[in-house]
Amino acid sequence: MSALHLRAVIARRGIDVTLDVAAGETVAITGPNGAGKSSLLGVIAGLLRPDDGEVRLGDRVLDATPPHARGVALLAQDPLLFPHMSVLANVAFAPRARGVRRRQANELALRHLTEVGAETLAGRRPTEISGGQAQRVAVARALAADPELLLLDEPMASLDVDVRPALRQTLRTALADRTAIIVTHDAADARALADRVVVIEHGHIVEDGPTEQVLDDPQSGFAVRLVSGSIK
Amino acid sequence: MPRWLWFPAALAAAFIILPLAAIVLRVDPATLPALVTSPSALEALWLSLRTATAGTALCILLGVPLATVLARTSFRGQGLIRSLVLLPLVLPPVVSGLALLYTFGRRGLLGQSLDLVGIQIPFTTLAVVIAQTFVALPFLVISLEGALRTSGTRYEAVAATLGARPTTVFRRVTLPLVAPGLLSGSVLAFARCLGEFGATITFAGNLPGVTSTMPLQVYLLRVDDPDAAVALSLVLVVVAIAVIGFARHGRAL
Repeated sequence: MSALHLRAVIARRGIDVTLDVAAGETVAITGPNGAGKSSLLGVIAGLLRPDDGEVRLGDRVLDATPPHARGVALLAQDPLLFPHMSVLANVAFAPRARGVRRRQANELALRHLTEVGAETLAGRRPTEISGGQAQRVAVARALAADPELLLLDEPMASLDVDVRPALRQTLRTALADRTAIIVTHDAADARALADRVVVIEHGHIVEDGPTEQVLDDPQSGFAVRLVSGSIK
Repeated sequence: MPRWLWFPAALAAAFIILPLAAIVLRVDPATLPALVTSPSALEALWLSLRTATAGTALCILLGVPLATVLARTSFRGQGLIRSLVLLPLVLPPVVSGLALLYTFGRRGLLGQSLDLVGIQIPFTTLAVVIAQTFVALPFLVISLEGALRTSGTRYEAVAATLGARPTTVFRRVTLPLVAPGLLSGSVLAFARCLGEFGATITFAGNLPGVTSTMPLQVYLLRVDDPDAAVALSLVLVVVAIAVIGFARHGRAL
């Protein structure tokens, strides 16, 4: 668990953001589509190279570090479970990749599956489970990587409304004392999961404050619309 | 669809099917077993299977890295490289054979140096394998590059953020995801290896047991022993049908 310092400039997209996340803190990033939220996650994960900037996690500067060595796990809107592996093998992927023996990796995977309430799915194939179940498994898979920082890019956007509360509860437990950033368009997600809300418009931070403050007394145009429920 | 299209469509289908039927009908079932199992036929069949298997293996060994580089990177001149690599697909095989001769031949580009250390490639079984690999490699590269582009990089990105090194991602995510494409590409390459004639006879010659594969044997026998030529052809037709069935199953065609 480490604190994050991010500065990212992507000229082509008009993005210029500086953001700090304390160790153990969960920050919700919200803002209109195309504001650059996912790009920021890409920069932190090492999948996108900024024109200028810095990513620091704890006391490590990550700018020249390849994605696999960053200790940053990314959970996307789509679960993206590896279709050729069982659910258990998916969750065991990260431990196996860092050299844990198969047996131990499987035990670890089963523990993480239990944590998200998906242990009964262990033997199934990703094609045999529902979207909500798949996203649960994806959460378990990300946790099994034991990341110093967890990035969640609209993890509930592709799910039916009726399964969201259950996953939200799962994430609430999982994120409790983790450093995490969640991109969301849902005020309920922010309220349930985040300590702090950051609003980004046109590539810049326009509002940044404790969740209650931002949601109860929104200042930026987007936050006002988010709270009034006109964004779904 | 206008109904009259049925007529030229049927004509086109008949155009392909009729010659196949002609060769099947020409086969004498009574003598077929003896002709197919004659020592020279078995020798050619065995040589064909060995060289085509080796050629396919070489195609996989060389083609997988090439297809991956073409699908996953972009660099100056990549378009040109891709076009050149696909050239053997449309080049007359006899020209490919000549090109190989001027590469690996005694006075060829590499052949001179090879000759100095005592390695002579033309007119050996190795030359057969090289000729087959040369003409079949594009089939594997095309199928696999297509499969790699279709499968995209999203799974690879996830695997990387889960802590997997590039080699682990390649082995455990990239390759398994394109396994169907790799399999059908290999089958097509195997078929092209098995049917190779022009490049082989130019670069490797026609020495029984050494370079005389099935297609060369058919060509050799067609005048003196047409029944044997037809019997061997039937074997090649059957293999070709099996390959098409296999490749279609893997959705390469």
